[in-house]
Parts: sequence; C-alpha cells; structure tokens
Amino acid sequence: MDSNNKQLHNFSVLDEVLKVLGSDNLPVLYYHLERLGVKKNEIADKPEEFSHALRQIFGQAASFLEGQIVSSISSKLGLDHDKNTTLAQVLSKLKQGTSVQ
Amino acid sequence: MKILIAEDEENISVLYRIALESRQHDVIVTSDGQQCVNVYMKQIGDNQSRNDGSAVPPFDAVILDYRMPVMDGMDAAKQILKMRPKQRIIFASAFVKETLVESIKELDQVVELLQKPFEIDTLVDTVEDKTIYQQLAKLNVDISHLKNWNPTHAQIRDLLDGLLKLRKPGFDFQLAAQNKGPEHRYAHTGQSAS
Repeated sequence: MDSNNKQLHNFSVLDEVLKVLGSDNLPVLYYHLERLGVKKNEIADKPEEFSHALRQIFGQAASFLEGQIVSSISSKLGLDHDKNTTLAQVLSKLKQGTSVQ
Repeated sequence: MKILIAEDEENISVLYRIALESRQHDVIVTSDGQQCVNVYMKQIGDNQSRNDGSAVPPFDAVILDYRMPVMDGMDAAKQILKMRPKQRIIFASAFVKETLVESIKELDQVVELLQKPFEIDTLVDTVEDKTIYQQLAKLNVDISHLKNWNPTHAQIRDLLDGLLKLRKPGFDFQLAAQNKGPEHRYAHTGQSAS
C-alpha cells in the first residue's frame, strides 16, 4: 500500500474535514456509518457506499461534506478536481496512480 | 447572499433592502409576483448563457409577500419552483394559517414563513439562518469554519437535522429512510426568530 492509500485508509484526511462537525460528534457519526454498512477503515474501499450512507444521515448536506472531503484530499495529494468530482472518482484516480503530481 | 424580493408596499420593500444591503447582501426588489417571476427567469437565462450551473437556483432566497397585485406570492412561488424546485422561498404574510394551508396544498416544497408584522432583524436573522447556526454551535460545530464553505440554507438545515438525529439514542437512519414523511415546514413570528 503506497503512502497515499495509507493516508486514506487511516483517514486522517476525513477526520480533518469532519471535525468541523464537532469532535464529540465524530465517534457517533462513525458508529452510525458502521450501522449503515460502512466501517471507518472501509471507506477508502467503499466510497459509493460511504456517500450513500452520508446522504441517509445528512440529506442535502452530504454532497457538500463530500465536496469538502474531495477538495481536501485533492489539494493534499495534488489531484485535479472540480465541484462535480466524487470521492469514488478521486479514490479511483489514486488507485490507478494517475494525476498525482 | 443574492436575494430577490417581491413586495408591493414600497415603504416595506425599502426597509428590507436597507437592512439586507447593510449586511452586504445583493438585493433585487420587485413590486409584484409577475415582475418577480420575470426577474427570476431573466436571471436563469443570464446564468445559462454564462454556463453557470444551470440547475442551481439563481438566488439564495426569494422573499415573497403573500398578497400582491397582478400576481400574488403563492402563484409566483409556484412558477419559481416549477423552474427551480430547490429554490429557497420565504413568505412574508399576515395570514399565517391561510399561507401555510395554501403552501401545503399548492407547493411540494419546504416553506418558511415570516408572520407580518415582524422586526426587520427577524428578516435578516431568517435569511442568514441565525437560529440554525446557533443550534449548530450548541452541538459544538465549528461555525466559522463551516461558514467559510458557503453552505446553502438547505445544506445547513439538513446538517442540523442529521446531527440532532445522530445524537438521538436508538435512532435508526435505515428505518427513517424507509418511513420518510413530508418535509418539515416552519414559521417565524415578529416576536421570535424560532
């Protein structure tokens, strides 16, 4: 596993974005994500399931949160992205090893 | 924020404009529903010609007086929501019950309602979602960081809704998705923004 993927599996990037929601809310969020079928350490492998679970919890705010996660990962790892880029697309790019500067 | 207003009483619309512009909002005032719909359509056309997110509502909020000449607020809302179903609409009305009943009957949309007469600060607080941000702050959300992301009204409303459910013991999101009811509607009065 390369360092980019390691970072995603540890998901420190995700924590950095989601901590805006309040650090005491994060464990509860991960608990509910797990109940919806996505464990924290599986998010990098199940981005579509993660996006779906996020929508079930946060409705219209989910795309906005996902956008912030995409933006944060992309700027950290030097990936191209725009407002329509999904987490699944970013992770797929990473797995292919493309576009990483 | 970009705000479109339809209000036939000029002394009231001037007040709205002054209060909102003093908070750096971009305000367009119209004097009836038809004029409001025309401005709305023109804005959509302008955005499309600039290739600027064709499905995105062109205004952050549309504030509609309920009773107006030529075209009333409800008909204007119907036309606007036909064009952009996700447009945030705020009704300003002295007829709370009538407005709520009509909006539930006529519009398939979350409706916000300011009960006339109201303090001008109530209008500003409603447009700026002050109450929602206060509730988010109570849940330890980093408000200044969140505001930097420029969320829409619907996004922060759903964010608050999700966080409240997260903290509700035993709440089951899967079950809730299966039993999803109609979207909530709420009203503001002149006395309180809640």
